Parts: sequence; structure tokens; C-alpha cells
Amino acid sequence: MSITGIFTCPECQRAINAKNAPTNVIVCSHCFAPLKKAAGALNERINLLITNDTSSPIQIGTRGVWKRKSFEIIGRVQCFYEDALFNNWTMLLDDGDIMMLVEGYGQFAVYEKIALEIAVSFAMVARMEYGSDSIELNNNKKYLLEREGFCKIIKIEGEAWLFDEDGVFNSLELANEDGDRIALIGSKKNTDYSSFRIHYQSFADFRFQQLRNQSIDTVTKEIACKKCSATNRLYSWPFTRSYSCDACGACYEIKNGDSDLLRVTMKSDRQPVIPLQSTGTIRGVEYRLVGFAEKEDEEGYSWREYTLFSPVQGYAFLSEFNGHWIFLKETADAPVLFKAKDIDFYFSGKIFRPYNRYRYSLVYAQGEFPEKIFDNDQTHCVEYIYPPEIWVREMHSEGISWYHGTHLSGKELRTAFPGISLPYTIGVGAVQSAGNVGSTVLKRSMLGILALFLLLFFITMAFNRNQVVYDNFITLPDSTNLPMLVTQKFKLDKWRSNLEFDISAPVRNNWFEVGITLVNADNGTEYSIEKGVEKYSGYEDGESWSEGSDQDDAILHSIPAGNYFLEIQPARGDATVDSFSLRVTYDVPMWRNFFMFVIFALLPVVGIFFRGAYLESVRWQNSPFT
Amino acid sequence: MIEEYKKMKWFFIWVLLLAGGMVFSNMSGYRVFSSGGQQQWKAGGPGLYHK
Repeated sequence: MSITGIFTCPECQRAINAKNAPTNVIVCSHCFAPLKKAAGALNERINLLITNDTSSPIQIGTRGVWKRKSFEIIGRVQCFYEDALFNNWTMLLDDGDIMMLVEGYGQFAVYEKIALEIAVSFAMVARMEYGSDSIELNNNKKYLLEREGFCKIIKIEGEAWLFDEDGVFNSLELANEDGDRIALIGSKKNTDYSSFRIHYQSFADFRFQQLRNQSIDTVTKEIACKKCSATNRLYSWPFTRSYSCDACGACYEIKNGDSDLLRVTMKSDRQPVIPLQSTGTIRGVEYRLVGFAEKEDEEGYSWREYTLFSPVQGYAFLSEFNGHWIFLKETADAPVLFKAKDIDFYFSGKIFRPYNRYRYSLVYAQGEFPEKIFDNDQTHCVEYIYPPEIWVREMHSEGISWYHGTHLSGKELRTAFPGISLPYTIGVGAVQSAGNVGSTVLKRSMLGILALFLLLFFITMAFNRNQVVYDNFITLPDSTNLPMLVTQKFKLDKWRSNLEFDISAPVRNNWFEVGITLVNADNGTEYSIEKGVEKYSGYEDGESWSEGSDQDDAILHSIPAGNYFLEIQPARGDATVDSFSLRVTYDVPMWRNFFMFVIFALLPVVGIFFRGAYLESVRWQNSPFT
Repeated sequence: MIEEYKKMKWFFIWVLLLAGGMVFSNMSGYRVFSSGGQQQWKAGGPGLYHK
């Protein structure tokens, strides 16, 4: 629990509660005067704007958990960057420390103040080129500049920690190849700056309590069109950076909080398959469809993008090409690419391969968007895939943005937006699962099946008797017609089992055959089989050769229990075969069964594997990286 | 990864059926796809009417 102290507001002289925390500014809860706060006292008023924006799910009093430490939100600094808006919430941890929870666009990160091991010039870092220049900051590790933001205005609420009183600062975000991210916040003109380690964490992992109730049906801004006077209702304000008029198609950009009418007008000649303002739940999050755009690359390939908005999870995008859908979200905790941008990279235990690179331009847009979509600045993109996942790297004027996406099936989409009619699919999608199952899963499944069948086979082998019921060496007479031999009766007492006959005869360039009839002495049922052995050898063209064998075996299977005897009828090529031996074993294991069942069990896996290989080859036909 | 295994549930049912088949075959001495030329005659014949 935080310790609360009572202070007197120097402006209105009324008592206000303040936490015993290392914050440096507080807004009087009575007169709303922003006041400087030093250790144990409130000082003079400072010139800062106050925010009462309710677009965030977080509010003062929200509690959560970070790194097993509970915290309470006690204040906010709302930062208005040139192209973005972020809330820097003041976290008061239970141990009395404060940290900054930076939130916006559905992304959440804790900023932990650190001291850099190597002093670097802020201005020098700010001059670095995004995505290519790097600098050593900590632990002999090089850091790449990923993004830069210029904050023009700040507004405060509650009790906060300000690193810059005038609210004008630059924020530089750097990352090393281990994914360690550092933010430098300062001014290009001054040498002083603050450095923070950025800890991205998902909304769910914070286990927030006492959040502000948010609804996707809340109209957060109503703006009259400057051209046709129609009222446009925006749902993702204050994050909206551009929008078009629903009535006349006039296009607007948001500049300093005001709508700036652009020259371009969008004719509503395209119909999105999911109507604007539709609401639906995708992967557990309820979204409103606030924007629709069509884009095309330099080669004329066009695709459609649907902008979704959730007050809690921010923006998400549905991208459709050739009837294949990808669900994307901008993700800050993304890969860091130092070297060439067109080679594979390893991230989250997966190897992503470059699949496509292009510059796109806008063909059509309708609705509201988190970026200045009408700028049409030919954004450069590279796509990396590990189906069904994709990372899209976009290079903007403010830095690098990464979007993480996954393939979305038509079924998922129809469930989210019932009643929609989806376009037919053509070919294989960029991240459509090839066979739905990865090769790792297939390999593990095959090994698992082999192990299971072996185990079961060995268990059943333990029940096999391997009981010899007849074993004899028989000398054959010289006569042409060999007599039939009849054995003594023997009892087979298992419900059903088999008999294995091992036959051997001294055949040399000759053959021997035996016809065996197993007769059930109780009911006369007969089971018969014939088996022969033959062996030939010789010397031809300077080489010895031989073929065949003087022994073989045969099986009578599924023999019911009962009293049996054997009728054995031998036959031979000539009288040089003067004997043979026969051994009959009851209830033997049959490895043939094992192999046959394993082959049948693995057939679907083999089918999936070949289908996947075929789909992969079709997928990569669309890629310039093949 | 778990989701991928879930997608293969019909395959695992197929595998379990076959595993059961293998256990039954081994316990009953049945030889699958037997082409060993085994023939069987019953003492009562095929059961057709005859004088």
C-alpha cells in the first residue's frame, strides 16, 4: 500500500492528498492547479496543461502487477507526439519506487530508469539512421536506432514524474540483437537526457484491476465535415491520425488536434466485404471495423486492409489478398535486424524467411486510420514468414514499425462477422498453413507412433508362448511316390493363435516342397498350406552364383483352439533330396503385423508431408525470394 | 504447438484404432494381409443342399 500525506495547495490553500513517492508534479484535486512537488512539500504552480481524456482503459487508481510487484497508478503524463499519442502513467510500486507505464495503441511497456554504462551524445544518437546505424550503449552491445518521436505537448493528471517541464522532448528507441530495448528521452539542443530500459508486457500479464469501463460503441469524437457539413463520428480518437468523410469522401489529417482538410477526395466506388462499423470478436478481443483501404505495390498487385479498433487492445488489421486473410497487430517487442534485411532471422524459437518486399501506394481509403494514410509516401515493406505467422517490417519517416500477423481462416472471419460474403481464394496464401501441421509436429508424431507400436508389440510378445508342438527329421525313401506322414494329435488351447512351420531340406540345384494340412480332430476342419525350398548355384562368366535357400517358413494363422494333427505330404525334384526337417511352433509373434500396421499408421503423415511440400512450392511461386 | 497437435486429433484416433488392431492381431494370431496361401475346408462342406 502507498503511504499518503496531506499537503496544502499553495494556490487554493485547501488540503490535498499526495503519495509519499518520488514524483515531482501533482495536480490539485480542488483547483486543478499543476504544482511542483519536492520532498515533503508542494511548491509553486507550473505552466502545464491538464488532461481529462478518458480514451485509455487505465485510470488513476488502476492496480496491476509487474515482475511480481503490485503497483497502483497515481498519475499520468499524456504525450502528444507529431504522429502518435502515448500515456505515460506513473506506477507507484508497493516498495515505494516509481516507474513509468507507457501505453498507447494497445501496447504496454514499463520504462525503468537506468544509467547507461557508456555516455553517448543524445544529438549524435538522434542523427543515426534508422535500422542501419548502431551504437554501443551497454555491456559492449551495439544498439540499433529503431524509432524517434518528437513530443510537442504534454498534459498531466494526478501525481506524476516529469523528466521535462516544458513538455517538448525527443524520444529515441534503440534495441540490441538480444531484444534489449532502451529509450533515450531528452532534447537535441541539451546534453542532458534520461535513459530507460523498456519492458514490453501484454495487457493480460499486468492483471489490471479497477480499469475504466470501455465500449467499442463509444463515439469518442464528432467532427463536422468542412466540405459538406456532415457529422463524422470517430471511434478511435484521440489515436486517429487521418479519416475520410462518410458522406462526401473528403479526406482529413489530424494536425495539432485539429482536422486539416486535404485536397484528395475518395469516391466511394469500392465496397469492403466487411461493412464499416461492423463489430466482431477476433481471437477473444472485440473490435469495431473503423477503416478500409486498398493498397497496391509497384507491380500492380493490390490488396485490401481493414482497420479494426478496440479501446483496450488498440488497432489491429485484416489484410486480404487473393481471398487469403492475415490478422495483424503492430508489435513493439519485435525482431531486431542488424545485418542484411533479406535473409532469414531467428525469433521466438522460429526461423522467419523473407517472403516479399515492396513499396506500396494507396489506391482507396474510407474511414479512420492511426497513420497519415493519405500521405501516400511509398512506405517500404519487407515480409518474413513462418506460416501461419508473419512479421512485416515497415520503414517510415519516424522509424521502423513491425507488425506481427497470423493467417485467419474464412471460418474464423465468418464467426467474427456473421453474414459476410468472402471472396474466393486463389492459390496459396502467404502464411496459409501448408497442411496445417508443421514439420516438427509431423516428425515428433512419426517417432511417437513408432515408439507406441514398438511398445505395444513387445507387450503382446510377452504373451506369446513360442511352444514347439512338432519337431522331426524325416528320411525320405527312394520311391517316386512319397508317402503322406500323419502326426500324433496335439492340443492347441488358446482362443485363436498361429502355427509357424520351419522347413529345411538339403537341396542342391534341386527343389523340395511340402503340403501341410492341419486337421481339427474334433470337427474335421482342415487348414492347409504348401511351402517349398529350392537352391541353385553355379559358375558362369568367371563368377560363382547362387540363389534360393534350403530353408523357409510358413504360417497358418487364426487357428481356433482344439485337438489337431498334421498331414504332411512331401514332394521333391529328384531322389538326391533324401530328407527334410520340420519344426512346428505354436503361438509365435509376427513382425510382419508390426510393420504393416506402422506403415498404415504413418500413411496420413506421409500424405500430409507431401501435400505440405506441394503447397509450399505453390506459395513460394509468388515470392521474389525464390 | 499444442494447437497443431489438436488439429491432428483424427489422425491420432486413426493411430489408436490401428494400434488396437495390431494388439488384437498379435493376441489372436491373425496375420494381416495374409498371402501365404492358407486354405480352409470345413467338414460340413459349403452347406448347399444335396441328395
